[in-house]
Amino acid sequence: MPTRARPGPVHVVGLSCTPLLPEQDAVLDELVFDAVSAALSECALRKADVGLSVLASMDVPDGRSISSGLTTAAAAGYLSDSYRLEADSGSAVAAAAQAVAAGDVEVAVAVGVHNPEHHATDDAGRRAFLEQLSNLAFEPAFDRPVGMTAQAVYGMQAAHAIRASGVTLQDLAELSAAAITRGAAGRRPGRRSPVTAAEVLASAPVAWPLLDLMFPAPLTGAAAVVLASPARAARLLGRSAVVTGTGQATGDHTWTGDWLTRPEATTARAAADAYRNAALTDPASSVDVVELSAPTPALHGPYLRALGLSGLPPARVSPSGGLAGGHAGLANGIVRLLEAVEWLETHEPRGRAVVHSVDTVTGTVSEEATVAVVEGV
Amino acid sequence: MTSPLTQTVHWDLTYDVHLGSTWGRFMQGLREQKILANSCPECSRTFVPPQAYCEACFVRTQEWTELPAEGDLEVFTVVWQGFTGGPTPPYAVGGIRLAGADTLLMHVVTGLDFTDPATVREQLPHGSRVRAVWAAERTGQILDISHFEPAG
Repeated sequence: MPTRARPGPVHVVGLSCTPLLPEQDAVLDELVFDAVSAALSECALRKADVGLSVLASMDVPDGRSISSGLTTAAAAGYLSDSYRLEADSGSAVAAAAQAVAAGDVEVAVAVGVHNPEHHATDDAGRRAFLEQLSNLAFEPAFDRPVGMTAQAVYGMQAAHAIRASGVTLQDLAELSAAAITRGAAGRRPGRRSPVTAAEVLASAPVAWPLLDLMFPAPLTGAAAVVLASPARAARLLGRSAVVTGTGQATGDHTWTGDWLTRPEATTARAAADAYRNAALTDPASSVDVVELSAPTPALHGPYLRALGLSGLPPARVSPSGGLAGGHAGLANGIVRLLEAVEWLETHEPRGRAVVHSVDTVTGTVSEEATVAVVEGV
Repeated sequence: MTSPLTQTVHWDLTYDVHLGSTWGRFMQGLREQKILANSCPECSRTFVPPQAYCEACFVRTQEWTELPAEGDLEVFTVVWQGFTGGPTPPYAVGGIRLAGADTLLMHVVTGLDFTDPATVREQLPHGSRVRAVWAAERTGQILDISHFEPAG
C-alpha cells in the first residue's frame, strides 16, 4: 500500500453565520456576503488577503442557474481564485483546508448558503417544496417516477432499523425529544420549546414510522469559515481552533441497498480518511465532543458507530441539539463546525471535536458525508 | 412582521433523457410484460434495474435473464406528507427484491389500509410476497408496472 504525506494542520481563524431563520428576506448573495464579511472581520482580514474561496450552494432550490456569477464576489472571490460546489458546506471546508494544507494559499474561505426560494408559510409547506426538489434529484428513469424522495428514504431506513436492530419507536422519540430540548436552549434554535418523547410520538405522521418532530425544522441562512496556514494564523486574532484532518465519501444508488442496510458505511469511509489524516488512532478515548448530523433519530446510532464514538456521554453528542433543533441545508457543515468550535472555546482543557455532516438531498441514497477533526488551541 | 417581497419565477422544461442500450432493453421488455435483468460476469450478481457495468468489479455486464414478476417486499414506508406535484398522500413506496435478483427495485406498493397508521407494519410484514401489476397501456417506462400488490 503506498504511503502518503500527512497534510499539515489548518487553523480556523474566522467563523460566522447569519441568523438561521425559517425564511430570509434577502437575496442569495447578500447572505453570502454577510457571513463571509463577518468571518473575515473576526480575524481582521480583508478581501485582498483571501487566496481561495469555495462556496457550497445548490441552484435548483435557489431558483437559479450557474449562480456563481451572483455569488462569487460575495464570497470574496472577485478577481481571485474561487469555485462553487453543489454539496454540503462540509465539502467546501475540506476543499479549502486541503488548499491551505498543500501550501497553495495562506488564507482560504469556505462558505455555505441555503435559502430555498419558496414562500411557504409553515414547515410542512417548506418540506413539501424541498421534497419536490428531492424527487427531481433522484435518478429519472426508475426512482423519480415512483415517488422517491429524501423523506421516503429516511422512512424506509427507520422501518428497517426498527425491524433489524431492535431499536423501538419509543427509543427514537426519546432521542428526538432530548435533542430538540438541548437545541431549544442553544444559540441557534430552530425549535424554541423543549418537548417530551410523548409529544414527539403525538406529532403528525410524515413517512412511516417517522413523525413530524423526528425530522429537522427547516432553516435558512449562510455560514462561513476563514482558514489559514499556521504561519499566517500566528499573526492573526480570532478563533483558536485547528483542523487536523478531513475526510469525505459518497454513497451508492438505490439498487445496492446500502442506503437501507448499511447507512453508516459512507460516514465510516469519511471518518477513516479524516482520522488517518489527523493521526487519530483511538477516537473513543481521545475525542471530547461530536457535532453529529443525523437527519432522523434512526441514523443517530449508525452514524455514531461509524465515527467510533458510541461511548461518548449523551451530553457530548451534538450539545447544540444537532439537526433535530434545525437544519440549514447545505450551510449545515459549517454550522456544525461553528457549534463544535464554540464548545471547544468554552471548555478547559480545550480538547478535540469531531464534526460530521451529510447532504440530505436524496436521503441516505447517494449521500455525501464529510468528517473533520478539530482541536482547540 | 410584514411578508417578504417576492417575485414568482416559473420554469417549464421538457427533457428526453437518453436510456442507452441497457436501460432501453429493459424498458422494451416492460412493454412486453417482461422484467429483464443482467449479471456481472465476475461476481455473478444479478441486477434489476439492469446495469451497463458492475460498479464493484468495473466490468461490462453480460448475460440477460427474465425474472418472475414477483418478489419479496424488503421494506416500505407510508408517505403521509408528500411533495408538491406528487401523488396525493397517503401512499406507500417500497424496495422489492424480485426472485433471482441481488438488488432492490423501488416501486409503489398497494394493498394497505391507511385508516390506522399504527397497523401498517403488521399489514405487510418484512418479506411479504408482492407481484407486479401491469399498466393497461405500456409505453416503455418503469410505470408500465403500475404498482406492486400483495401476492398472497
